[in-house]
Amino acid sequence: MTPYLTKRLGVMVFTLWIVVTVTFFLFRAVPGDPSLVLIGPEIEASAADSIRESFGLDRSLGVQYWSYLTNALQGDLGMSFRYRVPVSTVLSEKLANTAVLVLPAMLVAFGLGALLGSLTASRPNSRLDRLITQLFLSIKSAPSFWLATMALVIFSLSLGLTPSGGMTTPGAPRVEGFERFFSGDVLSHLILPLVILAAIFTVEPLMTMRTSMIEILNDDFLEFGHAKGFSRSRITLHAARNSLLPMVSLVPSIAGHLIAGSVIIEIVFSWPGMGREIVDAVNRFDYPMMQGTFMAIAALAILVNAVADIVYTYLDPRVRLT
Amino acid sequence: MPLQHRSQWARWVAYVAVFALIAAACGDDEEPATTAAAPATTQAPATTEAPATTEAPMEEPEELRPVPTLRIITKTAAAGPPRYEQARLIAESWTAAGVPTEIEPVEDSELGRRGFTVKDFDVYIIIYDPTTDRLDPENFLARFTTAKAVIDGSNLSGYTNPAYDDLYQAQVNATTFEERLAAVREMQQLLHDHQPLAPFIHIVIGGAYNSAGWTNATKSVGTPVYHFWNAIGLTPVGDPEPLVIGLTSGAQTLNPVVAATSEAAVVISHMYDPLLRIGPDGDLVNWSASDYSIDGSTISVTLRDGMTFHDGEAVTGEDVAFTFNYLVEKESPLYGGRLSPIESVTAEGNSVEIALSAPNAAFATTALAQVPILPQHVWSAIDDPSSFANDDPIGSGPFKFESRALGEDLRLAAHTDHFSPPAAPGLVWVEFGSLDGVFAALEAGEIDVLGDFVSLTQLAILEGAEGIAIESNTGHGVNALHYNMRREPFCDLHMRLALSMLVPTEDMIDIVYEGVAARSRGLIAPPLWANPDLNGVPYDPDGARGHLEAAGYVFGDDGTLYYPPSNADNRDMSFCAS
Repeated sequence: MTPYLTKRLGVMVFTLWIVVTVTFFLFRAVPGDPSLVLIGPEIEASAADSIRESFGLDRSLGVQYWSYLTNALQGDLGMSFRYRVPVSTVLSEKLANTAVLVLPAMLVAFGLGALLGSLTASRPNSRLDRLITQLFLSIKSAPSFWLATMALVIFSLSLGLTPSGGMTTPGAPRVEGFERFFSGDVLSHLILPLVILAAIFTVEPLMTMRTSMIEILNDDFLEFGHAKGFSRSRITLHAARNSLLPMVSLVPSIAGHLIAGSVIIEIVFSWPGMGREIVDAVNRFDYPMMQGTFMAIAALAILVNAVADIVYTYLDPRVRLT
Repeated sequence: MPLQHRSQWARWVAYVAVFALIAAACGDDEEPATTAAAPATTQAPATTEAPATTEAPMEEPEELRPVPTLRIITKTAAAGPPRYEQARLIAESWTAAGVPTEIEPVEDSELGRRGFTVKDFDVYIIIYDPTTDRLDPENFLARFTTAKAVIDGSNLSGYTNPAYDDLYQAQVNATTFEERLAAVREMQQLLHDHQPLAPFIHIVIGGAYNSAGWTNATKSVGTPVYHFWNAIGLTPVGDPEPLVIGLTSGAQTLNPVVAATSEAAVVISHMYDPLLRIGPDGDLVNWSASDYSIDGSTISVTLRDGMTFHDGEAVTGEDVAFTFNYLVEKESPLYGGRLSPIESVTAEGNSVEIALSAPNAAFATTALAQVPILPQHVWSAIDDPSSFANDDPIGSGPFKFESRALGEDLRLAAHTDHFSPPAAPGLVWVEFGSLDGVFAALEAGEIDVLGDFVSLTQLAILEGAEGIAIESNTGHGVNALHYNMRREPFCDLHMRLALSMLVPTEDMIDIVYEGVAARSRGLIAPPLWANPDLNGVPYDPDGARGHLEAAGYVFGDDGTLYYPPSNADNRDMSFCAS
């Protein structure tokens, strides 16, 4: 067990290093220059050099890379070019905002997916089965920006049921700390983007659950269950427990997709999370911010994958760590 | 058998049909070109067309050098829809008149690089926003001086003219308003005569606020609603509540020393006081300075009594002197250049004496009314301002920092000890993901003031909305084309004049601004500094063709434009960059 964990940890660190290195050079290979984004009618081009110098861009690429790497190891991800505050400060704030949106969305998507999956699997090809799967497949197939905009137009602008965007009511007194995420104001702003995001991602758990459930319902051991005279609900429960295994391996890929998918939702709903930050950072050549966000997302994906691998061994006795 | 016959027939019919279609398509291509050229020539006597065609391909066709397709660089349709659309209309008009032109949309940073640093462009379409410091003509006029006609300089056109430079210096060092005005107007005349730039539109700027909840609004030059005077002046009708401004561009850095955008400067100006401010009517008003006088190259300023920074420390002349030296020394992108005319600053108690290297008429507007006074006791300890977040800014302005959530909002509270305290207890900037979001929030009453810079046309969506007041101003900014006089064919005055005559200004106003914009008569918008004798360059396709033919350009039969043959070269290459 321990040698496996050490090896797994080593691979994680190595993968992260690759990500950091690739993004570092990739972003700098994009034509453009952060100081030039600012140059124009308002700022004299002669200021470009001093801006570049203050960003540390006057040093060679190798030196920049080395100092980035050594600083990152000490937890210092640099100063955002745009905000002029440490990247880690921005990241922690944005990550928290995105987590408030993405984690509940994931819970809802998996919970609802598992529930509807077992429901549809117990009556495959029934009218109900077709209705549910078609509905969620259509939601998934629709462009998410269209879906989000339509929801905004209907529920917020026409019916006035939900706020038009953002995370809090503008100008309302600010609640500090962790409690703010549970204030009524934030929750009322959260509901619409959360529902949309969850609805988009329910289809994968749903279809996975449905397929594995149908398979398992035809397994021998449940045949015995029938023979023993178990009730229908007891059989479904047994089948559902065994069908959950493929769902675990689905978690990492959905987690990645959710973070990526929340980019568009965050922009439409003016949600101040990671997704909007990535787009802003890319548009303004804010290198430290771009690297920080990509690194955070990569680290998350790597972590979730590792945890899923480890959890799997507990859930499935056939997989053993050596 | 008959079936096979039929399919063979079908195949032949298809071949013929396709062939006919191709032929028709080619014909179609040629047709509009000739018809488009026709109207341009119908008014002109037919004889002017004749020599052009006989002269060109008949005698020595190999000698003629074609004018390459002109390229207008612009923002992309996504990044700047109005600019892109105007570039498209201009290119269409030029091409139709026989000067083949394309547009080249590029990303913002690339646009900045090619225009403002390496000068790699034919024609650059620009929108100069009506920022407060452009109320003084200095900002525009400096862009055509020889000193700025370098790599990294703001003279995009590359216009160099000693007579213009002399006038520029004369207006900088002028001691009376009339003297300066005369020089400024003469410079506009030179720019009109030589057309290094074709100014065509002054945008009408719109502003909107919640008039049901707020009274005591002031209309100001520049942006009509979202400006400093409303931030301190707007008064809540009901219970005291902070004024909420919604915008799409979030506050950037709060550090005045490293700030590099005009958006950041606006935010900073609420927390930090300059010595003077530009008043709602465009005149300079005393602010931190209770009095100032200009005597040649010496400026004496007396600070207002009893001013304090947000931490309670007194504001002194020492702070002013320190600030000016510090901003120059640290090469502040926003303020360093404005302070460069300073030779030395000395302070004693509440009085400050600024010695400039030469008299400078614009210095009060461009520097004294812009540069924020920094507290020496905070900044003297900061050696490297680029790594200083300044996340709890201490200024002396009417608002003091309260909190900031990046990408969400920035909150300021009233600095009640200020000599001109705000009417509302605070000010909040709220960041939105899109302009539509800002409009929706304004209509819903979630925000009080629209903080984005928009043209009046964009505000049509809010017209008739209850409790929302819309104001507008004809801006002092300008939409214009910079011709790159460093390269052919823009070095030729006839070509520049012809192209300017082919700018379809009225069409652009109708299509892009839905009829709401003013046609430019010159670089500087009325009333104060504009030259009243100028009437711009009116749209005149015949006149344009006349100019090109007078210079000797040859219109080829196939739509190609040729440079004048050497024996008929009447181009006017004076005032070209060497």
